[in-house]
Amino acid sequence: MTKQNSKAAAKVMAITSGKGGVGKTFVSSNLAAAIAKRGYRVLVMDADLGLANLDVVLNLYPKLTLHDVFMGKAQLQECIIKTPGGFDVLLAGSGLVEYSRLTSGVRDDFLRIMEALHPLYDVILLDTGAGISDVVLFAVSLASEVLLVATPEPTSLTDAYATIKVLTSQQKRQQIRMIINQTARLGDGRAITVQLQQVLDRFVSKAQGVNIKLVHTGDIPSDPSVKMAIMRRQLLMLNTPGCPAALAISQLALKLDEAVISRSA
Amino acid sequence: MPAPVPNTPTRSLDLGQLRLDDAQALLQRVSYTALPEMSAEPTRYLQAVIDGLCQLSQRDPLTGLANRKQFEAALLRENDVVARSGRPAMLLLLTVDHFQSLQHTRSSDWVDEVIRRIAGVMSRSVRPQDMVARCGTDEFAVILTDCNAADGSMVAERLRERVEHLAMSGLDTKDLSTEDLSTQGIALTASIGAAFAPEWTRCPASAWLERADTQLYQAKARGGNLVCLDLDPLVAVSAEEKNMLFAAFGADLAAAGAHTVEDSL
Repeated sequence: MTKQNSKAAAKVMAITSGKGGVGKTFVSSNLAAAIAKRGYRVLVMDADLGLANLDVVLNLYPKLTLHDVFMGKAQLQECIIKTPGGFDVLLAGSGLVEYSRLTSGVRDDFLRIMEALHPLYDVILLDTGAGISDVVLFAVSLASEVLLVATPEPTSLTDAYATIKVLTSQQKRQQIRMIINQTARLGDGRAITVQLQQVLDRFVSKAQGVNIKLVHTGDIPSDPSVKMAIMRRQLLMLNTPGCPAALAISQLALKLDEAVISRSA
Repeated sequence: MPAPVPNTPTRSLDLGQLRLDDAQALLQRVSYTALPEMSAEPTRYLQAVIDGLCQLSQRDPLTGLANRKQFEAALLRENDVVARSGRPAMLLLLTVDHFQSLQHTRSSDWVDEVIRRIAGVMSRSVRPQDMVARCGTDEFAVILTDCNAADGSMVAERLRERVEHLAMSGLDTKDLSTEDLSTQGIALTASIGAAFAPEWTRCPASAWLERADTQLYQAKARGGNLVCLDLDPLVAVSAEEKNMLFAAFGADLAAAGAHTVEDSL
């Protein structure tokens, strides 16, 4: 039984990161499964325009992709793939690499697709590229919530910080949700968010006269089950649902349900 | 222990059966390296001819710099390296200001001499690992690998100054002297546009080129003899910010997390 939103519009959340390789697609796909398990209709969309690893993580071999929709060769519904995790996936297709430069045509195509998807889902997760390219910024701009994935490594945190600065200045974002992946100990993720918040308060909020609020939304602990699930190209939530990382993702889905998803219903 | 692989027998090379006259003549006229003796080592000689022709196909005949074809290949390569490694690289585009009026009023020999001198100045102003290319009549490009923002700006400014100084040092061609330049109000200056490759972000190399080109256009539009650099200061993370960001790493991260931070609910 699904507990669909009474509103027609889906809740759109962008999952992004400052640096590549921090587990963004892993978070997107498993979080989608955890939200779907809570009874929502969920779609994960490759907003990295063909460069996301969703197909690799989920072991998918799509015949039709968003590229075919853009080219007028397929209907949108034909490209939506159902996954064992109970959520749907829309892949961009490798042909869209040529669209990794944001043109007005790409923007219009993307907006048209999003408009068509809104009534079909309760939650749309946009799996964006890493960094601060114009495509990433555009994808993030379509979302009401931004989930920034980072790991406790200095390079990841520097890039996360730079991304927050840009999102604050260019999109006037006032709130960004932090997900710290691969934490060693309980409390590390919260400490990192505190640290980021303090640096932002000192160097960005004062300079720009805006208050950017980081919301610590969850930690995902380092867990050998994650690597095993990735190597098997399976969802962690299905492969080892009781492992610490899977439990943390379930907790994350609960928090987002209470704070974002059900609040919009 | 596996048996050694026997050498594959090779047939002796008879250069007399090849029509190498045109290639020999071309290489003797314009090649950058001398050919070895043909009769002594035919294989080495043929390799040198092939290498020489390859080199010629990648060089600009007037200046000896890399030509557009080689530049484009290098740009693709560097763009890929930066996307994967996050190692910064800067692209500089340089054009001569008011070049068309110089072409209309000066002899082609004089114009060629100017182009040769600018090429020489550019080659001497960068490191051996950087690539300088001539992409059009008065269009030059430089790829500065492993180059941070401060160094990139410095190199760009150095190039601009040296081209400006070139006019003052005199051009000893028969039909124009330094005096001619100054009395007729013609200043030999250059405009430079520069952009950093997107780090960790998979964007096409053409987007990098376009960003540098936009900066070049701005430098021209603002009167020339100027460097315009595509560097969003917001993206840059200062040493002070990094120090504060990593302050908690030396201490106990979890303990630092005991400070108040906005939670998700």
